[in-house]
Amino acid sequence: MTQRAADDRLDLSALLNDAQVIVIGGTGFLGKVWVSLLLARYPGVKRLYLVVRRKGTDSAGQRFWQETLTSPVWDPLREQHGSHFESFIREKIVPIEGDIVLPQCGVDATLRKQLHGRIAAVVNASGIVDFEPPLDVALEVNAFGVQNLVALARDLGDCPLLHTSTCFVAGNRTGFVEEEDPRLHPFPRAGELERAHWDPNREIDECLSIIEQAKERANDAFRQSHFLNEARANLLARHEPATGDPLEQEVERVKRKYVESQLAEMGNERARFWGWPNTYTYTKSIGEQIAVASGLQVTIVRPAIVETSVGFPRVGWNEGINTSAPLIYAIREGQTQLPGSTHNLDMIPVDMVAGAMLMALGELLDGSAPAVYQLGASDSNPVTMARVFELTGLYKRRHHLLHGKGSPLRTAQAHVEGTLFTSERFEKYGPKAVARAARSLVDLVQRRSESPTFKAVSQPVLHNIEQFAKGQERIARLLWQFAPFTADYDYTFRCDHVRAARARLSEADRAALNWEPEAIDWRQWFLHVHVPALERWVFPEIEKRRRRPPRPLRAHSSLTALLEEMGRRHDLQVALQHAEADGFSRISYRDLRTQSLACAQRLIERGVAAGDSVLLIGDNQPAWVMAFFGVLYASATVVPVPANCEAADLTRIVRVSGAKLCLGDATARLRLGSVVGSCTWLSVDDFTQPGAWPSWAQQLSVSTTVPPPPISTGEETALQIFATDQQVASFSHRALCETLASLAVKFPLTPQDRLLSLQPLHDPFELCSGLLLPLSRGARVAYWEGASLAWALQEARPTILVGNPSVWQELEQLLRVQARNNGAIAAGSFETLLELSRRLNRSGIQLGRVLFQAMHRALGGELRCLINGNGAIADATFRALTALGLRVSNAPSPEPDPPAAGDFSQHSRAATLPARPKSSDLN
Amino acid sequence: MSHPCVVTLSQHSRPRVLLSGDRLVEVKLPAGTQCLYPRKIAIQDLLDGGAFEPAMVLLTKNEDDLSSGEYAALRAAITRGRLGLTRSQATAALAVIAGAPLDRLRVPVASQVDVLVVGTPVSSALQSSNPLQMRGELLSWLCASGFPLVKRGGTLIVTHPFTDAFDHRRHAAHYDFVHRLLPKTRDTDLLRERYEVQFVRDPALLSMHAQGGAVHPAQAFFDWCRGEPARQHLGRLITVGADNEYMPQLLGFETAASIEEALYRAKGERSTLDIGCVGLPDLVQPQLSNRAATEAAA
Repeated sequence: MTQRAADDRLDLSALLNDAQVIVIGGTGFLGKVWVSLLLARYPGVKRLYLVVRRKGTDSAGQRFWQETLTSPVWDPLREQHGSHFESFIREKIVPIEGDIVLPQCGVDATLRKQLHGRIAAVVNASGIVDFEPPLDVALEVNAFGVQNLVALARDLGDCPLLHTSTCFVAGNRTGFVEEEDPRLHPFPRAGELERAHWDPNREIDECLSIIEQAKERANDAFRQSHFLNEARANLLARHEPATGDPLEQEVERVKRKYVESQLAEMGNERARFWGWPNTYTYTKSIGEQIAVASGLQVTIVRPAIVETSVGFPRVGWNEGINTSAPLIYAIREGQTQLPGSTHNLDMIPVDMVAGAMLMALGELLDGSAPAVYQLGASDSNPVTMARVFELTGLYKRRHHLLHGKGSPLRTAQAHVEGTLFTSERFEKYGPKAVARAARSLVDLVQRRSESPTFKAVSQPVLHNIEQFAKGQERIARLLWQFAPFTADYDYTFRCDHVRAARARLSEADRAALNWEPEAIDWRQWFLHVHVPALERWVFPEIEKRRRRPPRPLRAHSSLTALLEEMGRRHDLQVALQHAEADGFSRISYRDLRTQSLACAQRLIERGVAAGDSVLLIGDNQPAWVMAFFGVLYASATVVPVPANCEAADLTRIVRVSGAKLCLGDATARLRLGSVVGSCTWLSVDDFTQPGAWPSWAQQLSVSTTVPPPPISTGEETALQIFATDQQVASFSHRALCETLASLAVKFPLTPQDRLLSLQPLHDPFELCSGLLLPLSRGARVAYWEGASLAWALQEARPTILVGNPSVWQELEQLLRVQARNNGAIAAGSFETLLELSRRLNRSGIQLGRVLFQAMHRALGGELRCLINGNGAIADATFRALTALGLRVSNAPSPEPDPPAAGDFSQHSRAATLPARPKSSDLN
Repeated sequence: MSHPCVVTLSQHSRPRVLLSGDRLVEVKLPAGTQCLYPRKIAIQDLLDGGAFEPAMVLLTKNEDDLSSGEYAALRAAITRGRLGLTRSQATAALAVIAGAPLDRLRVPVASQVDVLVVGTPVSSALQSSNPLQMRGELLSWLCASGFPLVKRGGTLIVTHPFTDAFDHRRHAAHYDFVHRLLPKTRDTDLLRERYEVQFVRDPALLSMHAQGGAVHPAQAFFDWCRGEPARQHLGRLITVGADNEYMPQLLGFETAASIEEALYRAKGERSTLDIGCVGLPDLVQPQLSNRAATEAAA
């Protein structure tokens, strides 16, 4: 370390003028403010080389210009330079590709050669912010990253290095923490344990060894078997395919999670032994020691908790999602137990940290920098955790009184105060204990309740308690990470070095760089600067992460793979039903698969080859579905044709599609059998014979030996639709499976769900949402061809209906007619109740099912969801149906593959859909 | 595709609810079991006439299709104990069951089964407990169509308490038959040869029949004999839920503590079992497909 010359003036402008600096971590919260402050206050700096990580296909430059430069942190520069802002940035900042975890930070060798001897300093403002990362990740960034930094600085001509660490490397200590060379007190328990046993390089070697071992042990046979089992169970629980690539990916994910948890545990064990509270501070400290031992000119900047700015780039700027924000957010959202004490909680505004870093850089360039600068407020203007907690309580009260109007729960929250617990009490009585108690209650009720009636009533409540317990465990994990800093250690970080540096600045520089923690009025700052900043910049981000839409499920590779999987998974569960004189018949998933395979064999024997088209004509019935899958099993393409298709249209479809075979029901054959020309007509009626297994299957002797399913790449065309607008839309297996995967997230159907088919199956929306979606979730689909809708609703008792806007409009009309049929009073009260239910819905009270019991009985009694497609539902209809207590959601139609030019220009008449359910059906 | 009244159970199926005497019991049957339910047309008169109480109506439906409320009501009936049927309800129900045309009862099935689990016949449950009569009704039902649903040598499992509590006034002859004749022999030919004439001419029993409203003593002999073809067709008869050991033994049944035990015994050395279940036997008449009937006949 260079000897300090305290009496000299520190002329930052002169030192930074024409200086070229390499900045790592310049895109983070602190890094951005530092770069912006440097350019705003000292525009004479020649150039900043910003090392930016490549992300996916986005290059460093793209990321800088699109993500970093759009931040409000650059507003002061925008104001200063106006229309020249962009040219100024282009002149001063050069984004270069690299990553701290790569050798020489990934900076290109040619560039390093060009910059050799021309760089004034390397500044590192990067670091991971997770407190308990896996050991390998923490080491990679915090320890090896520093080695890479040192290598880069050496390669650039032994240039000075400014490294950012954290005050909390102090670890398990209380009282004053001096700004001393990390080698003087290399680990927190240095006064207690033998120092000779500590060597940062040996620590790294040993950590590498245990990382290697942990990864090796994960390959043990019994672990592999365990991973496979767990992966299968996960996939089954998520209704994702449990074979092929998805299974391999899930096994890898389970294995990675296991190794990560092992490494996090191992890292914590080592950290705690030496006296650090977590892996983050342990590896940060190792990094510091590597840096100072490098022999380079190095200075370390250790900020405390970096928080909202007081002046630059604006009053109230914050992006820190892992500092005090989660604690304040948790309290605001109702968390009442927190680990805390009357100990100091050292927070420091980000602009003060950035200013102090510039001072440190000045002294580094000046050659007078000490080894460490601590940047905190605890030695000049301490604030305690208890005070922060009080102020958070004040904020919470104000927030709920202001925003909680109309919600009794939120109004009540304004009057609930939290409690600070010591770590021991937090462990004993905190959210973890609450979660344990909740789980015990669930266990107790489940063990004691034999009665299914009680089970049926208690199940939803128990489910909610289970969810609450999970939430409490999550909060406990989060808050526990903060416990060492908020409840255990009482630090007072000495910040003499930065004060001394500031004393050396000129008046102008002192005015430009704010370092006055003693001037902070914590109440004013917290309530009027910090919290508004969090509400504006950070809480939306936390809420976005909390409400992150669930990721789409993994798609099956093909529709036949889907049926194979469902056949195995749901086996004897009912897949399809058909209206018969005695009620709805049942076809299990096993039967559906077996009969589809048998159909495929029959088709193959009739000469159908891969890629051929097969026409499918008929009303909605299980035979249609079996034939559909049969064609797919034969690697052919299904061309569904409306049952009421005109002869001329069918002739054209046969000609354009080049279909060799046509599968149709008896009615269609009677009408259209003669117009299919060279196309061979096969009857699907055999499929529908109740009682015995299909006679054709017996003739083919396929009942016991079904052909193995073909291997599909997913790119084959599964479906060709000859649409009303004279276009041919083709759908590949993959497109349909991906649509299904995204639909399954929005509509998480269960095997208990029943769907009544209302629309013709040749419509791709109905095919996807009304057939393939329920089949992919183990639900059942009922076809009621030949029966009345009222009978079908009563018998099938659907939980879900799929339809288009006109179906819902008709349904609404039917219900209104039914109300009118009961007399004028009933009709009048129906409208009044609808309005009442709508108003209650707005307050979050759902009474539709109670108020309209008779209507629900007419709809089968269990209907809860309507899936709408093919257009927007009329507003009045939507409001009426939701007031009835039904959930109405829109589902997308599958996207066809890029359109193929079809010779269908002569198709003059729109293929009409089969008749909709008639009003009289319900009467 | 199965007929609407034939239900193949999956792993998630609810337990079936069967009649055991005049009570309801739950039995958990393995996946793959085929359950037969009565056709609507078969029970329409019972429903229209209000002869069935709500729990009995639910018994005619597939348990898997019942709503939570309906299933809870069924469970409540199980907990409650005896079915609270009024005399007029029981009389109406018996009249309808006795007069039901066979066509209405027919439910097509694909093949015979190795084991058939049956509940107590409704007509038997509606009367006072009479194990001999129940046996007669059940076994005669099995062979009524000429092609029993159970394979030759198969097992019949019935849920019945076999309570030794005959109606001494009305079923004096049944009591006498079970307690006096059956301990001597269960061989039907021997019974008929040695005891029939003497039994049906017993002056005390005839007097009770003529003046006390008791059934004719020949009815007891008839109830025993009408089960004979089925008894010869079957391999084992097992009862589940019997409250004593001797009554089932007298009537030719083994006793098992649970349905699982009964199925374990029925399985024997076999690797798999085709299991069937008929909850309301006298309201369902299984009709084998032509192919299955030909095989059964062969």
